[in-house]
Amino acid sequence: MDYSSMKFGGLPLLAWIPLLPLLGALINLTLGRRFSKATIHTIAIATVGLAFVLSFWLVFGVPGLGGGELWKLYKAGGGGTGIAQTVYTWIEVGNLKVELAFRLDTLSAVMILIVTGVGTLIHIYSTGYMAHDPRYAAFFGYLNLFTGAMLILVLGANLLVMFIGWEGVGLCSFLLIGFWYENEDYATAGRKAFIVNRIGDFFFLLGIFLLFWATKTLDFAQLKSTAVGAAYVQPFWGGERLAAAAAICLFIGACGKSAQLPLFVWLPDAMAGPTPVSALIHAATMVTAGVYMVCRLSFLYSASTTAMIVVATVGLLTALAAAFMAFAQTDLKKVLAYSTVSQLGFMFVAAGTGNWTAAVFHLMTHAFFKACLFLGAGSVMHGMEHGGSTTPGDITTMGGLRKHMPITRITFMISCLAIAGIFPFSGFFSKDEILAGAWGVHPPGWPAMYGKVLWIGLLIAALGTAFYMWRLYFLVFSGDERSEAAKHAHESPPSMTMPLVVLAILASLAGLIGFPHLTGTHLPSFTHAFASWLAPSVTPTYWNPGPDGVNASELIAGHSSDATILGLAAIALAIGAIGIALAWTFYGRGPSPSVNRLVEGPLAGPYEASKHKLWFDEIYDATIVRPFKVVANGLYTVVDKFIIDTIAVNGSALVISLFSRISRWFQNGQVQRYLAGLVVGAALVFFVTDWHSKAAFSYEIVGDRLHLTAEPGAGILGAGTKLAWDIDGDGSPDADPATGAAYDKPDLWVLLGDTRTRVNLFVTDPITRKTTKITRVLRFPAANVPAATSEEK
Amino acid sequence: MQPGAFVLPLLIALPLLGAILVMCTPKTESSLHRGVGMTFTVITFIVSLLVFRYFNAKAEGFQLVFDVEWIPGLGARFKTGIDGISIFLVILTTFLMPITLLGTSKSIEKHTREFMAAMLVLEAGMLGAFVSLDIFLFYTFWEVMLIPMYLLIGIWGGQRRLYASIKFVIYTMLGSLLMLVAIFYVYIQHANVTGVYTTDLEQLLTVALPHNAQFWCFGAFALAFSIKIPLFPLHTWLPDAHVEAPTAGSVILAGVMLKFGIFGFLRFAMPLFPNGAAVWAPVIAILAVIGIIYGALVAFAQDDVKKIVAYSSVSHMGFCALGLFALTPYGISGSIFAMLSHGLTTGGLFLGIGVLYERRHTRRLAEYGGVWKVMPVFSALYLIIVMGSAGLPALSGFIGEFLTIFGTFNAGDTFPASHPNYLPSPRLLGALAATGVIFGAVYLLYMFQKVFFGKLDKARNGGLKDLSGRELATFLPLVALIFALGLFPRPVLQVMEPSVQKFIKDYHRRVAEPDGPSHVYGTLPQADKTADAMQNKLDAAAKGAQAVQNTLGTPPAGGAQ
Repeated sequence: MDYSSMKFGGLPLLAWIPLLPLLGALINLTLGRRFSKATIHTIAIATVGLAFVLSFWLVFGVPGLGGGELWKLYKAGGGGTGIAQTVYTWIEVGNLKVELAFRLDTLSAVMILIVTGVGTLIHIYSTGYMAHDPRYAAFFGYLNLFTGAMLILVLGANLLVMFIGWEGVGLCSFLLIGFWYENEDYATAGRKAFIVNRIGDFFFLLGIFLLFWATKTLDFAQLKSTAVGAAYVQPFWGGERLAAAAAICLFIGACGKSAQLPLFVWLPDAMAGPTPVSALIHAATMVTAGVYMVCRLSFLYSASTTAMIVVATVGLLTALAAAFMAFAQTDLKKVLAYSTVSQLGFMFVAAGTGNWTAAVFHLMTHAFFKACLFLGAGSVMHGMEHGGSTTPGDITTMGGLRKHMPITRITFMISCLAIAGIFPFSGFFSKDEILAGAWGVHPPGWPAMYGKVLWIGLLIAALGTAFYMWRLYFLVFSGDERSEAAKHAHESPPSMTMPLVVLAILASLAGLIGFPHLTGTHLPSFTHAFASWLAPSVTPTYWNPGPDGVNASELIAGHSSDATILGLAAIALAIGAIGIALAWTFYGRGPSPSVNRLVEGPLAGPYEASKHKLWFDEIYDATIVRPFKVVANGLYTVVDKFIIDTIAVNGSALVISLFSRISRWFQNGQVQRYLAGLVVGAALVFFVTDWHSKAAFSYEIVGDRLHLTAEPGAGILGAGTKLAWDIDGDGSPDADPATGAAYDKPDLWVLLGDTRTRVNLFVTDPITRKTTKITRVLRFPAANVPAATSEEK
Repeated sequence: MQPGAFVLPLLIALPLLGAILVMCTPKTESSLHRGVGMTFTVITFIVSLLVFRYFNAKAEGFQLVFDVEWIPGLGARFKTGIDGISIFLVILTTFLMPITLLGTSKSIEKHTREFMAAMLVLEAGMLGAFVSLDIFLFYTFWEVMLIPMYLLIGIWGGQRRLYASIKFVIYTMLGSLLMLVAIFYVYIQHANVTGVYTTDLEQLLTVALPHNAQFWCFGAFALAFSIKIPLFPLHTWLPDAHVEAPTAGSVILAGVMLKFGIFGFLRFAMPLFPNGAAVWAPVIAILAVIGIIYGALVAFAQDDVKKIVAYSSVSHMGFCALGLFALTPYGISGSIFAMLSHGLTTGGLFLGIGVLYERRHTRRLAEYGGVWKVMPVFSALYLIIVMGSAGLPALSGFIGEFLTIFGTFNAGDTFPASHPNYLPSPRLLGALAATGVIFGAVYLLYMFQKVFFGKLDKARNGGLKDLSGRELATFLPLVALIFALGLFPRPVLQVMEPSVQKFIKDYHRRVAEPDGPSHVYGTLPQADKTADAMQNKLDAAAKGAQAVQNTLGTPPAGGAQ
């Protein structure tokens, strides 16, 4: 269907979704310093809010205003094709044509609704949280810029447009983490985030290059088409498949953006940014970009079980490691940061098991409950600050806040229930979906029972999640106040609590659209709404190159029986409950003494490991950061300064200046010295030219003649020498028997019959008159050996 | 004469006229000198825009050709013309010139008259070298540029200005003298074959030289151009020259003069000596990759802001060289685009350093910190320029970087003909070059953080004033163009495309010429046998390509989107 006429103000409607926040950013960043705070946040909230309304109008329609184009398409079976609109052609060289094009399908629809919806709430929240910041306009400008970049990322119709957004959100992340740039640590944290992301982006670019090189296209729809898809399973470098190589490269890019092992290290530091930033960028939206990208390229990933097992394994390891690291953290936001890393690991396991809908489902529910948790944390810190705390994020100084911050407490608790996976909160459904998918997965090429391994690993991570999240909850809200600041904390203003309430409601109810598929029980269709909605946009199958090269496809995720599904759900629920119970035992009324006993006793090692996030930063510092600096400095001082500049450049200059010095010494204007130079020079010429040039001669037998060539010394002195040949070797010079002329030419032809086996040459020096005799014994071909030379007389 | 032929000679004449005029003014009237300088550079810029009126973007080959006899005895002609490759470089030059004067002329206090004259002569020299279609004329302008730059560094430079200026001159001369020898060789060979003594480039291009001679001649040209680019390890004059040069000198040096290296390869070395280029291509490509990584690493080790940017030029120009020798349309277009972007971003970076230096008279990183607090407008604009330089998508730097790496990655069709197996594959070179994406961010953000972030704890930084109106007027056009080129690169790429395609087509035609004594292309007597062999090779290659096609399946029609 043609949507090219769907325009507003000359631009395609889809372009307006990112453009609105970008315009807001432009206004606030250029003119914002002259505006009042009310004007600034009105512009910022209005543009993001409008983007949300426009998205909603496009996807579902607004009663009375029409719209709902995507919904109509979805009903007609075109949810995967969606609405595609091109703004203009961005780059065109040779065969490479990259259009600035956007595509709204059911997958990107979910994302834009999350980004603009949660984004609007966080913008509203920020009006309260940042109320006293002097750089109010810059903050809202950056937030808007981020929202715009994120919308470009999710709406991009090809890899390069996605990459614009991908880098754009990285820039905003850098700016917002280092928002309070006067603190050097914060600025460094921002830079660290950008550079670690860039490492991922390097691989992302490699993936793009590989894909284009092999398929000659970057457009998602064309990459997805069967014609191109066939390329993914063909042999590639060293028998590997293209899909595996490209997908793994792109996945490393996702590891950077979505903070997976081994590139997760920037996210905990990113908590230096203002809390609304942590909520929006480092929990709800930007860090999920990697998950979104993998799901967007589901057709590519499902073409390689190798890539899938990499994704799933990295996801599992990250989920476990981050959960472990969260145990010992004492900073409110750090706990949430590790929890985010861990939950992203869950999403990647879902993606790696081909359970795309579960990955996006968890992405959505996580966006709700984690944004709620972060905003709640911001509210707590806000309250603690007002209570007089200088370290508002330190949970060891909190406790008892339930009395002072009732709304924050309730919403925080709901979100903790959701993340722990307690029925009927949203996290229960999405996490269960991931666990069940891992249990039933059986792709060829994977080790047997690997799905079960993933399942067990995730269960452990889920147990950890429930434990550390409820540890956090109890330490913050339960027991008695552990500091003066906590006693004087108070509830935040409505601008901050309103978004909390909305997010908490979403966190409670969002799960109800993603019930598991039970074949025996007939649930109303809305309970599977989410999976059905996404199904057209993701590929539930993988490419299986059959023996004759024909592509067959096969389901990755198996269908389990109702009993299995319900049993697995019960286990997951029980795990969550156990985690909460454990947390209650240790921390229910503030930190119990038994914790200290354990931490100082048998668990001291693991406790330190958790606290120092397994020493990842220290290891990177020792293996990458320091060597990088050493190499950089070494190259500069050794190669640049010493080898090239000192030896090669200045060295050759020195040699030349030495020569010039010597020649200057000669040319001092005294005739005597010039004359001396002339004489010495002439002598040198004689000496050098006669050096090693003893007289000699050579011979050559041509037919019946002997050709003798004298070399009386190559130098100048050789010119005046007298020669005399003795061709019969009797010791006296000979003459031509026919003419009687003496043999004294340097070049002599004689008949073989006149010679003997020995030839002498007498050379007389013209100056010294000394005569030298040179003797050679001739070697003849066996046929014509002359008579032996008689003894010399 | 073609329509609009007058534009290019006029472009060369205008700054020269300005230089003469400014030298006629009284010595002490420095504001008058500035006025004359600004007027003439602005007029030159406006006149240069006339080029677009006469230039047909769809056509290949040289346009606006102006051709008169110059030195009849030598066969040298005053022949100028532009194509899609040089047109934007000309505009870049005329654009950067007034910007530079506007941004920096206040900081020049002594000999303003001579300064203006030097800048104007420099502009004439650069424009002349970009538009010359006669190799002798090119060489003349090439040397003409050298003198004013030598004076700029040597008179208005910093502490070690003598060392730096002499190093700059000797380095450049060393390369260009060998180039002159090669020029004579080509000139004589052409006369031997055709009987006509001429230095007209298009005439010289009709003669094919023996491969062995091409190897040496290309080497001589390559030395001259590699020093200019500069390629590792011939780059050490650049940091010294930049550090000592006044801001205006640095901007023009990095913004325009370095481009002559790449431009020289494109216009002269590769068309004249295609087989030499084929042999040298892997070597230069590898040096370019080394330069990309090495320049970025060494930039990180500097504590002088100007040196950081100077080494970043080594890194960025490496991308240009790599893209050029990938010999794909993406690579070459990307290389030219990267030059334009580098001219804008690096010019902007140096101008910004000039702004800081005027206020604080130091370039040491440790002396700064927290500048954002007192100079927010400047900091924001500088951040955009830094990001443009670091290759953030939607800014100009990304397009050039992406296309050059992309072109290298896809160089499979053109590399192997000349590509010994023991050398790394184009894919590997492309991947290695792409690490510049990481390293670029490392040193640029490090510099940015040290200058603009952190506490404002140095007392002398507290009173720094934000940009004045004049300074704002220098930065805004730069930033606007950085955005414009990043968001709308297509119009620029489209103008380049015919010339780039022609360049590649001609290169392939020339490189296929069999070896033999100097002769006019296509007239070698024993060409048949070699042609057959070549045909067999081509057939085999086509067969291989078909096999690949069969296994991969046919890509969808319509190309990539």
